[in-house]
Amino acid sequence: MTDRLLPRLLQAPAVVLLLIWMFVPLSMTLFFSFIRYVLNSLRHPEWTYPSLENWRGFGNYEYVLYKSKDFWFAVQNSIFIVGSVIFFTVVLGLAIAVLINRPFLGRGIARVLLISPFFVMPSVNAVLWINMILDPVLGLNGLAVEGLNKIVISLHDYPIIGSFFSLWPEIEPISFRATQTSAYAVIIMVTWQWTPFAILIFMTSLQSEDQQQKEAAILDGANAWSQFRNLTLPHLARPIAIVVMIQAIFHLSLYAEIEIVSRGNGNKNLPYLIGEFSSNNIGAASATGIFAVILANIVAIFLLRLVGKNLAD
Amino acid sequence: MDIIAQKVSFGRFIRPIAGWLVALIFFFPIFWMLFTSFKTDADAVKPEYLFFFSPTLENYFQMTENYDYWRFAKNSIITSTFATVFALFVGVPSAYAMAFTPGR
Repeated sequence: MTDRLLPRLLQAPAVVLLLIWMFVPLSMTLFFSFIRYVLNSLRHPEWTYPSLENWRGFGNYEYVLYKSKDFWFAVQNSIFIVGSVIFFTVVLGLAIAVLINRPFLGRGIARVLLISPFFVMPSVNAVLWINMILDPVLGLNGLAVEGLNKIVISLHDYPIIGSFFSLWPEIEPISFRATQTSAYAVIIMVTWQWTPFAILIFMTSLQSEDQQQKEAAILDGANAWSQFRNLTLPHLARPIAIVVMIQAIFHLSLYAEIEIVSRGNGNKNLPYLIGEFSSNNIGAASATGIFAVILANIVAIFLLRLVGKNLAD
Repeated sequence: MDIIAQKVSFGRFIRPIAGWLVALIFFFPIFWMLFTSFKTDADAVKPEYLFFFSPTLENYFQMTENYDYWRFAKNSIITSTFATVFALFVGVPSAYAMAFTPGR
């Protein structure tokens, strides 16, 4: 029995801490989600502290589902952002990892440059992209569109091509701060930041790919695409599953980018909605939090199944 | 022979060019942030100073003078260091136990 004692003792702190850290917040969230708990309630001062006497049953859930109009929008937006980011990072990551897998001049430096976005802080990333690059007037987006318009207008004076270019409409830069488009801005900046992560994971597992199998495939006359599809992609099935899982977990809780890009313009995801509720209505925030936990579990199970099925065989 | 010749030309010319292009595109926002940090507040939003301007360190001095920069930096370092040390402290023994005495 003594040889079981040491491992148990070593594991005990982690298990106990994780149990406390999971159990206490989750049970508090569950408790708060069933009571009326409003921080700034002037008419009902008894609601401003948590107590069993303010029991509300499923009232908070009903309120979140039916009365607050933002809930379904936030769920939709969360899934849209997470799904798009995962799709683009996996596709870009695969392409770039395969591209830089073979040695070329200065590959080490190119690799460092490719990984660098991952070390930028999320809030810095958001400020940088929304103010300096995507801004429709002062950012590079606005300047580039303005420059393009100027070039097109200056071409109007030329004899033959001028009449062709005069048919071109003046382009308007996309404003990434509007409600509909700020989700795209978030997707762009998060994809930029997380593609290096996918590249890193795919690159390390590409190193372990069987080269003899590849040579045999080349000798058999397989072209680059069928090599990629039939050898590389199955080899990368598990790394892809890992990238998808980790990113789903991380991006469902995306907050800094949403906060900086769309402060006040109505675009939000689930964590942002919880944050809004929690400035006043803790009950509704907790109910939304429980919904978020359920959604995260559904997404995790769904993604595991999908990735496992498509790539395992 | 045909296939191998194709591969060589791809490896020799297109791969380095494409690889470097992608790397530079990915690094560009960070470069642009660094580049803009040497412009004054007024110059940063003027298209005519987009690439050519008189560089200044004004922003760096302002950053440390007008804001409590070093305190916030210290906070970041303290949180990240202690979180990492604590996680390792709890996680390493647990991982060791799981790796060397596989139960179940």
